[in-house]
Amino acid sequence: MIKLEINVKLILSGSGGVGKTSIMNTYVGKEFPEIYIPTIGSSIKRREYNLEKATIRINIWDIGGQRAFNPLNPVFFSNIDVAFLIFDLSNAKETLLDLQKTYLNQLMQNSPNCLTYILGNKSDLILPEDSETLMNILNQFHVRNFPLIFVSAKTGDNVEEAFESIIYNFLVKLEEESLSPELNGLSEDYLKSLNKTKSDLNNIFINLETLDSGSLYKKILPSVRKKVVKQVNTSEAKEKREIISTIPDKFKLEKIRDSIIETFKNNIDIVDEFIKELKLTPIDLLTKRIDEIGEELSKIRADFTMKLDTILNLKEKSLLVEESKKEI
Amino acid sequence: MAKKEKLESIDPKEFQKLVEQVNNLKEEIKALKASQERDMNDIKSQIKGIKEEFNREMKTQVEIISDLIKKNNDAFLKFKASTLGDLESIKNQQDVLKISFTVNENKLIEKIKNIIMDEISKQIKDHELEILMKLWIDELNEISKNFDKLKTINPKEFGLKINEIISVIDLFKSKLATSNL
Repeated sequence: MIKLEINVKLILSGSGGVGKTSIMNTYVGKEFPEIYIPTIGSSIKRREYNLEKATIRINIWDIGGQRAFNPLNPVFFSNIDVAFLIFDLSNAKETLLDLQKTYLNQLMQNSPNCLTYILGNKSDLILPEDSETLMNILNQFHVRNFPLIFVSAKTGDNVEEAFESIIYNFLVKLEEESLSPELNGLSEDYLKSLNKTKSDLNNIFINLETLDSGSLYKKILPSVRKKVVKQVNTSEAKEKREIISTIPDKFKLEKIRDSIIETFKNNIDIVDEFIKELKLTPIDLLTKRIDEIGEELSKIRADFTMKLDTILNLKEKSLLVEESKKEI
Repeated sequence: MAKKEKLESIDPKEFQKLVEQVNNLKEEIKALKASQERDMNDIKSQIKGIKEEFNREMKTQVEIISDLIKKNNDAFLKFKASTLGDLESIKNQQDVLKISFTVNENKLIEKIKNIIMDEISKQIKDHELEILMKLWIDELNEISKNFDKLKTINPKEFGLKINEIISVIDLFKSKLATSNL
């Protein structure tokens, strides 16, 4: 029996600094970063689930949210299977507004059928006294139409589960929409491979209709307590973010440059994997897969160009910083 | 009975006249035959004459041409013998020129190469990575542009093409890994 290959395109989108890269890194097993470095363009990572009758390949596109560096490019939002729209729980009002006004619109315009979850990141920064304000903000925005999950990339809380849940629901959707009998039972196989039940995955959803501010905090609290995270108050967090986003000094520019180069190299690895994957693709799926990969390649190409342009701009900025320092 | 009556009715004089006429005709035919034979013999002898004349003329022409060829050949051999020495010396000079040209050409190319390399090194100093990135983008552009063609080629060519792309990617990966950050 030929093993099925299912390629899922998942994007992480939202304002700059909400933690998209950290969530992705937590999911693919990379360390939580010490300092915040904005993503330029996109960074692509992969994770595979090998089931008995199928290989599920998750291609995760972390799309940079810093608008100064990343113009909102519609190509990133097309042909998406599943999406996480991410906001910052410690700066919920601003980041949710941005999410609703910009990212949600882009997504709905370009991939109206994609399965979308809203993730509130940095749950480790929420204090009991913030719950009511948070509840009010959440109720103000129309996020009720989408599954909502609170996660913490820093503690890893709910990150893995959020991915598992969205992949599970994507497979369910795939089974329902597909006429192919080969896909039957795929979502169940996936659950078995995780050793979880459907209710385990649904347990992480925040249901705003049934929660009040007290129970909202309780929903976050147990796992945060377990992980013993150093609490930082929201104003401190905001201040930290502002410090980082002040005029870039040489050190920060170098860090950004290194990060761009790292994601540039990483994205070449992804291109490599895409091409190697073609060698193993069954002949009846080859034409379709060539089309899909061809499209991805043109997007990645645009991303490489954006990265190179940014590096060249950073170099100029770095020289300017150096010169102005000398003058001082 | 009717035929016998008819013969008996011919006048003997008339008959005699008829015999004479037949004899005259025979004589005329004989004379004509003799005249024809004479004519034929004349024609034959004329053809023979023409043939002999032609053969004589041909022989003369062949002798003239052979003579010309022989004269030219002698002249050429004479000329060859006189210029052989000169040719040898020109050939030697040519060889010397060729060798010195090659040596100088190589020297010049090496010099130009070094100048270009120096200039490139100066220009790309601190930009190696960006140049590699740009080259990669151009390469990916090429790969992407021809990607659709993969659908139309046969499995053997497909395998070769994929391996070719993979080796290009590997090359860039290794170059980028060793370039100065």
